[in-house]
Amino acid sequence: MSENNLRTIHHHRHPGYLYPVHIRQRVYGLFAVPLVAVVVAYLVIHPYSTTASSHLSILQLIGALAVSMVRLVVAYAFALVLSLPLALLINRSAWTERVLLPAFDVLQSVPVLAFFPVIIIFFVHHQFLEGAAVFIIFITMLWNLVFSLVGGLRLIPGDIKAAAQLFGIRRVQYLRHVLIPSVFPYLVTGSLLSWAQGWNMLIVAEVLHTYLPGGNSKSDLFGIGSVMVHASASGRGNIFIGAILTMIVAIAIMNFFIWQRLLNYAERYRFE
Amino acid sequence: MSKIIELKDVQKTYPGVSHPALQGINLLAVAGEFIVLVGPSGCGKSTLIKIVTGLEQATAGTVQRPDNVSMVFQSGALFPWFTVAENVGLVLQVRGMAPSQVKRKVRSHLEMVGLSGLAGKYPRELSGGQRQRVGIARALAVDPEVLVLDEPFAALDIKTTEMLHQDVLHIWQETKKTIIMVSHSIEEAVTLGDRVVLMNAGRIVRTYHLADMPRPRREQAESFIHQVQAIRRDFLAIGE
Repeated sequence: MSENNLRTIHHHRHPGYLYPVHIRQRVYGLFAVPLVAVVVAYLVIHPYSTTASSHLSILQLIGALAVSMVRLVVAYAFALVLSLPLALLINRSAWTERVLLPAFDVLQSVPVLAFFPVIIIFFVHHQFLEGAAVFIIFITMLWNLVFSLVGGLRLIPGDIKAAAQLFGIRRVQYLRHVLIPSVFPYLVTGSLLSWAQGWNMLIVAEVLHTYLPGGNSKSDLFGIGSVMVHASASGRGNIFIGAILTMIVAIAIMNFFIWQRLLNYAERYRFE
Repeated sequence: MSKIIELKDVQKTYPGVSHPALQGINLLAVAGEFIVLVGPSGCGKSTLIKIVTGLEQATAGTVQRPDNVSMVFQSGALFPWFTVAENVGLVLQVRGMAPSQVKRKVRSHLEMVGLSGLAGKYPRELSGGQRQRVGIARALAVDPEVLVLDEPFAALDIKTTEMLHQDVLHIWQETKKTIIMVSHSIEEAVTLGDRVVLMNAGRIVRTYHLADMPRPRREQAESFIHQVQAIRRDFLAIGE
């Protein structure tokens, strides 16, 4: 093997984990492309935003993104809190797994939009449209987390459970020192998928009037998803493209600063 | 010597399985004894040590064992997210030991197994032999009355295995712990054991008393070769 071949893959030190250069290059690529995209978006949108009120400035787009992000974060927090107890419930015994797993599988298969009529009636009745949007995103995010965690719980080696039992690591200590670290890599991959689906559902969740009898756009929630839909409906292509690019940038930044780092960090939690 | 473990007519049948994993097991271990269980795969060795450690309950028969039984697992069963020191310290921490005491005890047990310089390393950064040493340090840290070793050297190379044999014998002689070990190697059993218990199909087939055999035992010694051959003959005759 030549010296060149030997130098093909270098490793960089990361706290407790080594990862090859090509991953970093991929991440930089992922970051650089959207950065160029946002500059293009700015150049496209900016001239219009200063001249007509019917157009959005880049700051308004970022504001819309921020509002949408808050909805996603709140929905994710609820999904995260509920997913572990649900996964533990499934994993509790062979009986609970036999009963709950197919039941949750059916619920997962029900299109999230099927929840809309019921949820809309409930939340609109209480004048709480934000609740409807967050609930729809929450339902979308929940199942990926639950099924990822169930998979993670199943893969905890028998020796690890036996060691915990033998050394008296029980209840809260077991949860803290053994169970949560064991499923952490699956929590990260489940979260990644949940967020991906959350972004998809955001567009639908913010445009609520479609689902209200006699509803109009006043019932819609301000956010990057509704901006995108309204721009598309009214033929404002520049804003539509700008909104899409803003969303891509947000996703790429999250990918770079959160998910890639978490995926790398989670490797130290994997059993060999 | 005082008895520390006594199993009388122990039977174990796993739910949904008609064939018992253990039947008619009678075993008495005295304090400070080194017992090695050998036998073909699936003969019930692992089930027997699970009953000794309390990880499984016998279906029938009586089991007398101390509460504080510790174990070294074949896989090591170390927590990959904890350092060497944290892996050893956790079992003390959950018992409510003060942090300063945990630190002191971790240090002394890592010294005992020759890993003082690796306290801050993670299990993935260690060799197979070093991981098993951490497992031994963790198991000894709780000051058990009985130490169970479940094929701890099965995945290691010959040189590392021989070094660990010497370490285990040294620790056993220093601490006077009762040790029950599962092994696939008859040579290993004769090297380490006071008593070798041959099992087959959930039963104890024969017991070999080697306490009078002088130590250290050398594989080239006539008595060693004679003993290994005797056990091997019985082992191979199983199932004929």
